[in-house]
Amino acid sequence: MNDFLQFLQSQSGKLVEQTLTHVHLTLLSVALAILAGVPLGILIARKQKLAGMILGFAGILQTIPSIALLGFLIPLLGIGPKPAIFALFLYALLPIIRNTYTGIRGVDATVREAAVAMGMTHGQVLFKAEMPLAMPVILAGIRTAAVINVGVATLAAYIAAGGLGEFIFGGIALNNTNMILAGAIPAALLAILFDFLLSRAQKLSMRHFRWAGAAAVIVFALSAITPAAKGKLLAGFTPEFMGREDGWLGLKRIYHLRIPTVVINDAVMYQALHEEKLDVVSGYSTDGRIRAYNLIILDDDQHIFPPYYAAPVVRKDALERFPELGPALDLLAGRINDSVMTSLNYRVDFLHESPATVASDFLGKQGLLKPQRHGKKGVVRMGSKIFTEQYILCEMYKLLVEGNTELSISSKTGLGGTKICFDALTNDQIDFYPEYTGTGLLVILQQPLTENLRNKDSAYNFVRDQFEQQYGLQWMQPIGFNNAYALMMREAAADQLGIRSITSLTRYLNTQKN
Amino acid sequence: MIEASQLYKAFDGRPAVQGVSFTVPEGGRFMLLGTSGSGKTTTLRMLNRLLDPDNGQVLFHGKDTRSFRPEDLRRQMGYVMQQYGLFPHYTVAENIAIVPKLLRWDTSRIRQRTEALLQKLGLSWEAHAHQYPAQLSGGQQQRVGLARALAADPPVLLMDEPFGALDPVTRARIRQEFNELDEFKSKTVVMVTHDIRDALELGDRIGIMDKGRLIQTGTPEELQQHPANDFVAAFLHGKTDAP
Repeated sequence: MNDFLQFLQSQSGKLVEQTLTHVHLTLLSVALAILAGVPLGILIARKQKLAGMILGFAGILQTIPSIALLGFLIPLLGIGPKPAIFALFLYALLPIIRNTYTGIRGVDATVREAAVAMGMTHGQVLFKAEMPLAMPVILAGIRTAAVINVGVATLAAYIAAGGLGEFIFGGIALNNTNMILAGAIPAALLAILFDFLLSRAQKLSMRHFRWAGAAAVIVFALSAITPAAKGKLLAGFTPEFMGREDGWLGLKRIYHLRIPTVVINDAVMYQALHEEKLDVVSGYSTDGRIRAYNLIILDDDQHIFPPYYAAPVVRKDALERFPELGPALDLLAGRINDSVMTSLNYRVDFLHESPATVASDFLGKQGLLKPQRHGKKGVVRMGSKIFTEQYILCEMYKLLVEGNTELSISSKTGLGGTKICFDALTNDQIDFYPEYTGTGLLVILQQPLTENLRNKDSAYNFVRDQFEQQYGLQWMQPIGFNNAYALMMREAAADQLGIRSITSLTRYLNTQKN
Repeated sequence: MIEASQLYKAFDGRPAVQGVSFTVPEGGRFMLLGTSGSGKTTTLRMLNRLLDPDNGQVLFHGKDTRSFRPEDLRRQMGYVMQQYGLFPHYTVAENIAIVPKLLRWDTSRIRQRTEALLQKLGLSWEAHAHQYPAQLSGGQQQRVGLARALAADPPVLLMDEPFGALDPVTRARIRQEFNELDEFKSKTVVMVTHDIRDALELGDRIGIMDKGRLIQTGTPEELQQHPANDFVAAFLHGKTDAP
């Protein structure tokens, strides 16, 4: 509890900003949905034939998964508040259209006839009789839409539109409960607040709406004052990167990097960089998209990103039982550098070749591909995490082991994340899987990063020694590439600005300010 | 003042009103009397263009009603409904003020008129003006309905079963009060009813309708003494006087 209060205190500026952004996104999208939805509801209450079609269409919009919808919107509206508000607007439409329709259809026919018979025009019948009488039902729809949107607006953090989702998703990624609560509790309170205010509005009679409307405008105007620093360059970081010492915190502390940042989901981050919505992103240094989108990695000249060199981690008993296994695995040692790994990932992710083809092509060119021996001496159980790079590495190890020894490989690929792979290994469910030094250090050994451990070799030596002592596991020789966090830019933009390293990026930004 | 000639109206190909003609002179009180489904309400609704006839025409002040803007026509014809049709979200005073407001009367004139009407109809400004319809009894609601129809002092009053939803005691009382109202005496009235007592007490001429046709028109005495056929005779003697 104390921790939580301390967290709130230290992050109060961010909390206020995120809450205001959240309110702004919700109110603006609901306001737009009212402007579009109420007239549509009135229209279909008049023209019954359109009702099924329009309600059906709004219903289909409601079923599109939100992250997919946001993805569709990036090419059209970019990133930031625009696509977020548009997506939220679409989600708010259905309850508003449907309740307007139901409310107007529900007005007593006698009252409507009396209004007409007294000589009211169509507009007067609508505004003096139908709308006021349907208003409680319409407001109930607006209430539903507002509460839904407070929840959905957390997803705005996926596309750099801010809001309380930044804390929530950052907290989930960093396993930081205080951070999750700092986003989730205000979001829940906002939902309750909106629900309460609109429930009060439902009880007001029509004449009070002017005042309610004025109050809404004021709240709206206040919420619109969100700090929006727009420098020359804009950085997009994942929620996880934002909260890590070997991430944004370190960039600020070590490099004194000052750049406007937005929080964005890694699924759309590269695309946003490619489409020039962002100028700098945090990514992984061997991602295939680096090649696909012509990105370059800025040199980490002050070494804040710990090394993530990949190597197989093997059970000692397996190495003793099959002495030929170790040398076969080490055949790959030092063979793949960063750009080669990036290319291999690119071929699978973007050219849609199978990991097996890419693996055997590569080994063939390296002269490592040997005919499979179909050996019967024993079975080695191999695991992998679920992403492209690990699949490719595992295909290579299978070919190497089965081509160079009398052993055969049984694959248990797709073991989820680090924790599942590592537990499978220590519980003798698999014999080896490819791991990264940084992950071993920070996730498994939970070792605080010291200056010494930022060095490639000392990090490798450290994890090798600790794994052997603590778990009886053997780290084989590193494969060569380093799949670490990295800052990336579009190559053309970096060339134009003369930026090659993080230090030169900092220098460039400082000159821009003066 | 109102002249209906050869009105014909069908719904889904089934005629509801056929060949109906009648004339109501200024200050006349014409009762359309008939059983349910005889076409009397449809006929009434064609007078203020809530419905337009498929055939035939209605003249108001000698002019075809189709030459009026429907809203202007309706504002000159007060309309009283069986189910009152009061706006539930308006107070009594606001309900009565609807047509004067449409006609852009100024506030003090509306207030004076409303107060006077409430008093004439046995209600009071203090007790009732700020109540909502749901707080009133059926008899009070219908009084407000009458006041609303009379508010802008229209030359014509169209009434559709105005006492139909009231119990017999209230019904007789309101009918009598209404008949004695000076407001009512100066109006040209067309009233639809299935109750022979309404027709005899309030009407100076009665038109008997059956199956969409106007069977006989005449003063109460004429009809009672010379019924055109058995149906009219039976109706006037109350044998088919069932809603």
